[in-house]
Amino acid sequence: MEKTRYTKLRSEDEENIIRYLLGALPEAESDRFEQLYLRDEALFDQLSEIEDELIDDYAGGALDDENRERFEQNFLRSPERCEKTQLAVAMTEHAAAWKVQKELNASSPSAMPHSSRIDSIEPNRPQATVLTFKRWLRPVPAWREWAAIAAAVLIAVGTAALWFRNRGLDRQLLAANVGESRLREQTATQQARAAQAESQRDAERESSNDLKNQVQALTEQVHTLAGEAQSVKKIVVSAFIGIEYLANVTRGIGESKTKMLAIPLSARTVRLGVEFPESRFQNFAATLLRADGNSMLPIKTVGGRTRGDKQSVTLIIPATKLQSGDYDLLVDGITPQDHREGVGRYHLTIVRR
Amino acid sequence: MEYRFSAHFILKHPLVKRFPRRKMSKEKPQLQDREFELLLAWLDPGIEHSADAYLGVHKRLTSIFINKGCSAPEELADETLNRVARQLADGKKIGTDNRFAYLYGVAKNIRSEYWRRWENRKREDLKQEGDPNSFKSLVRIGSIAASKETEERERPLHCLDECLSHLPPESRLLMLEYYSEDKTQKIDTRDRMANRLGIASGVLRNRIYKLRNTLRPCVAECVAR
Repeated sequence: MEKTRYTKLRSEDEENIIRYLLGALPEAESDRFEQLYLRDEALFDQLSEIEDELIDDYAGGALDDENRERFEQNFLRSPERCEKTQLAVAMTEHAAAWKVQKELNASSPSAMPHSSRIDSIEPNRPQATVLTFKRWLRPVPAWREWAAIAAAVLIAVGTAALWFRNRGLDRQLLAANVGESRLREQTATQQARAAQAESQRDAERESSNDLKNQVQALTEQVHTLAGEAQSVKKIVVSAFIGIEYLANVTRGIGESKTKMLAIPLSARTVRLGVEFPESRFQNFAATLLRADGNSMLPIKTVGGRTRGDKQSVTLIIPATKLQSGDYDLLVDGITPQDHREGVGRYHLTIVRR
Repeated sequence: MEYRFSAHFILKHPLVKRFPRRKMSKEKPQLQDREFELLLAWLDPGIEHSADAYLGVHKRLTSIFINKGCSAPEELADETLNRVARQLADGKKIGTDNRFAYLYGVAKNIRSEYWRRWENRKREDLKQEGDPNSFKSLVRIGSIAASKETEERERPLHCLDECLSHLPPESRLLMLEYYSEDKTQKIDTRDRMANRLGIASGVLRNRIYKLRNTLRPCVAECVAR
C-alpha cells in the first residue's frame, strides 16, 4: 500500500500499525508485527490507541476511499469493533450537534433561551451588573419587604405546583415512550419472525421439490442399474468343470462324463473353471477342439490354484467363438522349456440359446 | 512491603478466574490448577507479576484474533494459553527465551483450526439453507451502515448524552471538540488542540483513549438497561 493522504502525515510506526489494522500488511510482515506486540505491551497500547483513532476517523469520514474500503472489508469483521464504531459514529454526531449549537449561541445569544446539557458545557459568561454598589446600601420600606416576601411565596408555590405537574407529565411521557418502544420492538420482532418463517417455508418448499427430483432421479437410476445388472449378468457366463468330468488325456480312450454348458446368445464371455489332479506345473495352456476335429481354439488361462491334491485353472473364452456342438477341452501344463504336457481332457456339449 | 502472589491466590483472583474458568468448547476440559500454575510460572518466571503477565498476554492474543476476524477471540486466546499449559503439564520442555514466539506459533495453529471449523460450519449452514446465526457478524457490519434511522441508533445517542454528562466539564468539552470536526479537518483539529493544550499529539490521543474507555462501559451499560 502506498502512502495515502491519510497516512502521509504519520510516523512510520503509526503508518505500519494502521496498515496492520486495515489488513494491508503482507502476511509475513503482519506475523512479525503480531509477534512484536505480543511481547511488547507499550506497542500494544499504542496499537489500541491508534485503533480507536482509526475508528474515530472512519466515523468522522476522515479516511480516504482506499482506507475506508479496507476498513469496511477487513477491520469491521469483528463484532467488538462494530460496537466501537457505532459509539464513535454516535459521538461524532453528538459533537457535530454541539458544535452547531455553540456557533448559534455565539452569533445570537438570545436565540437559545433554554439551557440544555450541551449549553451547560459552555464556560460561564460574565453576568451584566444591574445594581450599583450604592443602590445596595439604600434603605428599603417595610411594605416593600412584605410585598417581596409575599411575591416570593406566591412564586415558590406556583413553581412547586408547576414542577409537580411537569414531573407527572414527564413520567407519563416516559411511560408512553417505553410503551411505544416496546411496541416497536414487538412489531420488529414479529416482522423478523414472519420474514424468517416465510424464508423457512420457501426453503422447505424448495428442499421438498429438490427431494422429489432426487427421488425421481434415484428411481430412474435404480431402473437403469437394474437393467445394467441384468445385462451384465447375461454378458458373463461362469461355469465349473470338476475333476469328475476328467477324461483320459489321450483322445478317444475310456469313458467319461460330458459337461453341458448352456450359453445365452447375448453372452460375451465364458468364465470356465477347470479342475484336475495336482501336477508339477505352475503355468497352463488350454485348447478347445470341435469334436469333429475341424477347428481348434486356443484359450487364455488365468492363474493356477492348488487345493489339496487338486489343481484348477480359470479359462476365459470369448462367447462369440463358441457355437452349439460337442467339444473336447485339453488342458496342458507348460514346462520351463515351454513344452506342453497334457494334464486334463474334458468333453463338453455347448448349447447356445 | 514485599507482596507476592501465590499460585493459589492468583487462581482465586477475580480477574484471573474469569479466563481459565470460562466455558470452553465441549471437547476441551478446563485447566487443572497445576497446569495453570505451570503456565503462570512459564509466562513470568518472576512469579510476582504472573497474573499481570497472564492477563496482558491474554489481552494481546485476543487482539490478534480480533484483527484476524475471528468471532470468538477471547475463547481462542483461552484455548491458546490452555494448550500451552497442557503441553507444559505433559512435560514438554519449552524454553522461556522465545516463549512469545512459541505462543504465537500455537496461536497461529489455533487460528488455522478455527478457520477450518468455520469453513466447515459455513458449508453446513449453506447446506441447511442458512442458519440465522451463521453470518451474524456480517449482518451486524451491514447494520452499521443501514441502521441510521433505526431506533437502535437513537438509543446509544441518548445513552451517550447521559454518560457524557457524568464526565467532568473540561473532559466533556475535550471530547466534544475532539469529535466535532469531520473529514480532513478532524486531523487538523487534533493538532490544533494539542498545540493549544501544549501537549504532544500522542499525549492528547492517550487522554482521549482513556476518556473513551470511561465512556464505553457506561454507554454499554445504559444501552443494555
